[in-house]
Amino acid sequence: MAVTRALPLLDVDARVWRGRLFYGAVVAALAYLVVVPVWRLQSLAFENGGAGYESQYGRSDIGDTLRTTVQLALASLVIAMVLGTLLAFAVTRLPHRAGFLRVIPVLPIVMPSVANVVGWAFLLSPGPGYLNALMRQLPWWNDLDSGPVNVYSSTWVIIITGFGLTSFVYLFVSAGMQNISSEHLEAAQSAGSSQLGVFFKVVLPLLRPSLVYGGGVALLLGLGQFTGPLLLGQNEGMKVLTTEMYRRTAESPVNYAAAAAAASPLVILGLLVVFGQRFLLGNQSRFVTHGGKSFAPVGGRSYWAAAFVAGYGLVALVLPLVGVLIVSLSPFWSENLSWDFLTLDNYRELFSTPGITESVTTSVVTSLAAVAVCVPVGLATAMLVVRNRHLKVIRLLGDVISALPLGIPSVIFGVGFLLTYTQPPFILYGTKWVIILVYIVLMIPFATRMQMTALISMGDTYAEASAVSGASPLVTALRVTLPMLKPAVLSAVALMFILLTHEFAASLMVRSATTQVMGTLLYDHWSNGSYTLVAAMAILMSAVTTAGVAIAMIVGGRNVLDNL
Amino acid sequence: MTSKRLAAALAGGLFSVAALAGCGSDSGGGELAGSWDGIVEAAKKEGEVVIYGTVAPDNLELLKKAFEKKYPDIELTYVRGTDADLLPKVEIENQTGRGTADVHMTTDAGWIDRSADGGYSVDIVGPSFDNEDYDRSNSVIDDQWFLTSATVFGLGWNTQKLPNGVTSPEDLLAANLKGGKLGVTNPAGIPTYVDMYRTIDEDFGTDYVDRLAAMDPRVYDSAVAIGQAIASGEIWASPTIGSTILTEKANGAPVEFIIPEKPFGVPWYSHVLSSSPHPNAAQVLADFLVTPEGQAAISHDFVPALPDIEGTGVAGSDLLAQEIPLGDPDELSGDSVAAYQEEWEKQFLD
Repeated sequence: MAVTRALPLLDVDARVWRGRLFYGAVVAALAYLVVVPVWRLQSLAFENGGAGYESQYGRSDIGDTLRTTVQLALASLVIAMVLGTLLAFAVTRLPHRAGFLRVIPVLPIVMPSVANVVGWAFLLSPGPGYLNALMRQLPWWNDLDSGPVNVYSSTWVIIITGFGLTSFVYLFVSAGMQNISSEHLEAAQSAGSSQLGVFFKVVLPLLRPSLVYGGGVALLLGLGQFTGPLLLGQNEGMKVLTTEMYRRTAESPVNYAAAAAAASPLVILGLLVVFGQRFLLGNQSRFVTHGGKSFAPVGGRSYWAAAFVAGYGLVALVLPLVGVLIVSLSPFWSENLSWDFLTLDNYRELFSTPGITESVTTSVVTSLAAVAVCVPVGLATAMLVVRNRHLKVIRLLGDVISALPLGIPSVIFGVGFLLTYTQPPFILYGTKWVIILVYIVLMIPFATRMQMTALISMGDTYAEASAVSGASPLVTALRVTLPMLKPAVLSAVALMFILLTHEFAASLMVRSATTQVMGTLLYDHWSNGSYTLVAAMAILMSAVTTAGVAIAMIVGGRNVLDNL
Repeated sequence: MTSKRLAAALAGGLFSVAALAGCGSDSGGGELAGSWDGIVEAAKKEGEVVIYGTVAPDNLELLKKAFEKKYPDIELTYVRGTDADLLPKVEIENQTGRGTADVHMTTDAGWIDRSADGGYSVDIVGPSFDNEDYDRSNSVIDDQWFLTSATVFGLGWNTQKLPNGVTSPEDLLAANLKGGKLGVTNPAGIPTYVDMYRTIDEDFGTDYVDRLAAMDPRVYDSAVAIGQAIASGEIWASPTIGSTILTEKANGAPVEFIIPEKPFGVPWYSHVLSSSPHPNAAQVLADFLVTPEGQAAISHDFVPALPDIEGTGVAGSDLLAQEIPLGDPDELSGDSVAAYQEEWEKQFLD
């Protein structure tokens, strides 16, 4: 100790170097996982004089593909932004008695997207879709023998995609709203601002980070949409860049170069959005909004808000679930329903059909494994970005690399991982490891951002107050920072588990024939037309996720979903 | 939080991963035993065998039951997919040496021809290939690919939607089936369908495919999906294979199937993969496929490769798989198939 005291500068230097080494190692590992597969894939597109680009962009339908990709992303973004923001606002105005409804906007995330999409197909397929069959009973449609809605049309793929993205926008916007201190609102009101004035001049500007993040994320998710176009759009030949990538990897021999070329515009846009968000948000400490009082809506509570939230829940969650449930209890999918037909055979088949129980185990094990890695790595990255401003280069790299998987569609990581891990030095094809690794990459942004947001929102004041009271940095970390981060960590764990047990796009690329997760096996049965089994599997997938959420609630308290 | 604590947490996370993930897939099998009895014994010790096939999933399930009945010590796992699903997997397994499949069934004549240079297959050694009824000289290619089954394409329809039925390919072009009431299979990645469209374009009537495209049919990824779509009433009729329709009919679905005057047929060939992780069990399964029990399973409602097998074949005919020729590999080269696919998409999807 005497020596250390005598050489305080050396001690500080050693600490800085230790930090540099530690964070440098974390960032290097992240770079290998995140950047290398995308880099290898993209360099392939340039090989042989850009043969990949020639093959993909020389196709006669490429114009249509690009147009559809952009249309899908923009139109579903508009739907998601409007619905997401309205929902966030409506939730703050829910009457006390209807308070339980505030969980509804996040519940569609709990329902797997493949289950949701097949649910809509069961409801709105032009022929046997249950809602279509009901609508054909109406006097003005009773002359139709199919329709009136065609779920396989691009319009409906866009609408369903928009519904799917709404929950994500809601999460970002509502998190932003919760963090706005009512002191700001009261101050504006005291200064004579109207309710509308408060919303536009105070709430919306303070929501800017949430809207920019939420909008950016939803746009990228829209551009990278895969499930809807693949499961529904094939019927009418809908093509987007992600489904083109999948098709190129389903050719013999696999045309990685063309798949990489199809991915290029999405990679470039992803990079632009990730860097654009950094530029737009700038100094994030401007958005520290913790105050003495939490957000309290200005103005009265409204039953219209309750009706809106409940209506959304009915359309986005209950209807597709009912569609799936009915088919899962039928011997075959048909518009002619009868109580006599009801059967539990499809659920029995879940246990007798090869691979289904294994796929549940694989999904749960790989998801848990990825979450177990993501939480500490995400925390390290969040600490690096928020609390280590002196490590300029490492901090910038950590920030950007951890955000990349949000910007680049998961299907691209899937193809990149397939390419990278079917070649030396690490041949992991056919193992669970490759699934775990791609899951880690996909979840790093969530693990990092959710813990980072909590750290940013806390600001430095708590740490400073702790320090002023005489606590050492370690004591401050253990007794102030970590307890305050606990809700964020638990929410991150819950969200990551939910997203991973649903994961489909990247899994579809890296799975092998006998190492499957629930989503990929469900897709195989969908392609093979085993609709009743698909419906039972969709219910099973939802049950697995619900069980995960229930455990998260037991561990983290009932509000764990609110913290999303 | 200090760096040490973070490092400890990170190490903890990684440890959990190692514990949770378990070991990887098995690959790289042992040696093939010297005699058939030795092979059967070694296969029992290997204890499992995996087949990839494009045949209907119900047939693969029948095969599993029949095989495990005869060889209770060997568990059969099957993976059903289209050629577009399975061929890239077979190629990756061959390239990485990490085999999952032991035996692979396909109808892709172009791929069968091209695979000879890729070292994908090993010689078959089972005694059943020399069974006189099997007609080895007409059923085995290069001692590696063996004829396993065959199918014929006909006309399937939903009897509630079309109570008067369908009698010829022309009936599918009726005005009331326009606009999404017919189903067709997308030939993307499945050269057999390219072959089928080329053939029925002449055999089902002049410019049949053009006229079919003008009906604005709904597009599916596989014939199995079409079978279910007809059963559900999502589509009313389709030029498709019979087995999936007949399976749905057996489940009580309102469907029917007929074979037209000039049907298109295609044989399935199988091979034992050189990347097989269970080389002995693979040979035992390959041999079983051409036994009467194996044929009763894999060729149920299909055209068998052995005569007089109950539950197989085309009603009212003693057609055998040996009579259905494999497509011309030259016409099913990668470039030719890609060019046709592009043309097809313009017709059916634009």
